[in-house]
Amino acid sequence: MPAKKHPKIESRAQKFARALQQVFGRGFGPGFWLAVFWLVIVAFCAIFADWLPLRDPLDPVIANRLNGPLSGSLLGADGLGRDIFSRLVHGARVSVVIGLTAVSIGMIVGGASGIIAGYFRGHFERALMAVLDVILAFPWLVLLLALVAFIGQSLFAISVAIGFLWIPAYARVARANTLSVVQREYVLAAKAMGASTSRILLREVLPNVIFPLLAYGLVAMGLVIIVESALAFLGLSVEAPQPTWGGMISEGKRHLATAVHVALIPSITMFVTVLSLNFVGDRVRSRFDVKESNL
Amino acid sequence: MTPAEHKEQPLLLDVRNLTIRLNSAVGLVHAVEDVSFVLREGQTLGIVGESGSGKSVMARSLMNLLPRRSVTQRQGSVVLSGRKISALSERDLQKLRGAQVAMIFQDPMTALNPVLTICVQVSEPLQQHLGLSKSAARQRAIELLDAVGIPDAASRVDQYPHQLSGGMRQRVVIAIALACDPALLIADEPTTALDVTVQKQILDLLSRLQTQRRMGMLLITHDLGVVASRADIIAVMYAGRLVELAPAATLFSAMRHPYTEALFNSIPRITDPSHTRLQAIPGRPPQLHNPAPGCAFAPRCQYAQQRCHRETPPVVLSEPSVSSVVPVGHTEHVHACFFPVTRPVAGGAN
Repeated sequence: MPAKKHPKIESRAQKFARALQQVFGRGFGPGFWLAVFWLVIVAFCAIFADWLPLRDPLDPVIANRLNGPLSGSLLGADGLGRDIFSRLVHGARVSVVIGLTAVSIGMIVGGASGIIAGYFRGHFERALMAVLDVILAFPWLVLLLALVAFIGQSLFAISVAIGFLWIPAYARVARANTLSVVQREYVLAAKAMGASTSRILLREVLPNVIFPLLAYGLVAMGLVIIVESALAFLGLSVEAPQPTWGGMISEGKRHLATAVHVALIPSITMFVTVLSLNFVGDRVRSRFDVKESNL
Repeated sequence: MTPAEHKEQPLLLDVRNLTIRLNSAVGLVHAVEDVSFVLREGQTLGIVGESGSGKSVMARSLMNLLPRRSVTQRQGSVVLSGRKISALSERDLQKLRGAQVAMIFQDPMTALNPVLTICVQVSEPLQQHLGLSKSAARQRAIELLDAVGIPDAASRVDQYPHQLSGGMRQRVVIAIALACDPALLIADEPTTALDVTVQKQILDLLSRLQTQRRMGMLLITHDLGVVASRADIIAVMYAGRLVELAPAATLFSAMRHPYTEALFNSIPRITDPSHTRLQAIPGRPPQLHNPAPGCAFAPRCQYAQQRCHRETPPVVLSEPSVSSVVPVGHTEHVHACFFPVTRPVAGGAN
């Protein structure tokens, strides 16, 4: 075998660039990058909403009431004369925070219990699966309403409530992946080399399960945003006047006949965001699936 | 080493009357039945048998690696360097695994974790068992990879398993197994998943490393040819039982069990005239659940008589000196057959 010339020393930046290229390098196409671009904009808005040169999203200017897009302000104003663009930008914050927190809660709690159930099997697995089946058997909206009524309407409480709904899905994904990973020979090999149980879980199982979980997380985040807006539509999400996309759609429904843009603009924004999340999540997942089957 | 020198080596592994029964969907599987053998330091014991003859289960049970849920019965004893395995706690077993006993698995494609670099996987046992620092372990990992013949080890060490070929991966697996200088290496069909050309390289590498480090080795295979020139002692397993065990030279010159003979005859010989029919063993290996009484090989055996179908033949000395009782800790030629074959087999070991 001819000795391959490898650069002996590679800087961290080069390594990172190479890893990025290996994961995202080829074959995603412009659609994927467009979706990523949109998500970056949404994330940017969520983080820097307070510092952007925008009108106050809570400031009603009655003169601007139900103004159409491009008449004075970029996207017009809602039924109370508040600037829609500014409200959209601030509403992104709620969507992103709830999306991230709820998915994290689902991923950590559900993922951990799923991995443990899949690795140890036995009574714990049976008990967990039974509990999850019970949660899944509940109509999710009713369960969510009950949870919100119980723990309140703060941003954090809503995130926890929605996150709770995601535990079963994550636990199932984690358990299924763990079951297949545990059967691989490298887990037995690690055990044969004297690895302890915690080491096997953290070193052998977790790195192989985390990627499908993360990829699923992007798709789940899109769904979380929809669930949040459903709550907002019912007036049970974060309390007014805090702008949220779902809340904006809900307020806009009163003006559907006269000023359709008040409901349409947040709807389109949400639609594009969820579509982008699904698109990116799906592509990333298929990339990791390919990797799985190749190895 | 001559056989006489072997006898003076201290006992490394002493397996006595090992019986393993496993739970499965179809019933109780008699995976290993009454297996006894010893291995001295520096020796190689080749274990030969068809798929499903209990080789791998036996190998895994030596280090208690079988899933606890599925093992319903476990009898007999395994003593490694004077320590009884079944008496050890899980924590002590973890200290033993990797440091004292290491295993090499059949398929290098699945025996390495796809998401960790070679460096991490080789240095893991070094850090755990020898307490090396991360950088020292990395240095040692590069040396190990070099020792198993991986060219340009210093740059290979940061690669992932999918960047290596099958043969290279098996070398990495060997490097991991040898990391802590184990006294016993269990190689469970180390070459089955590899190309024939690579098989020989890997086997030669294993023999070389074994001699250098004076390890004891259990070489498990279904290929009589693989163990012929590499094992000091050969054990033939059939349906979970040891049917014949002998020093390699003795086995090939004076095999006693009809199954060994049938296995030997089924090897195609390069000196045969072309279009010679392969001598396959008729029938299929028996199911290991609910075994019928009698010798497991009887239904396929051309010498079988009525008694073979009724009674299970005990393991006896092939050349009884004083009595036919098998001495404990022996490495004599033994077999388990009522009507052993005696005629010399045509041709020699290839």
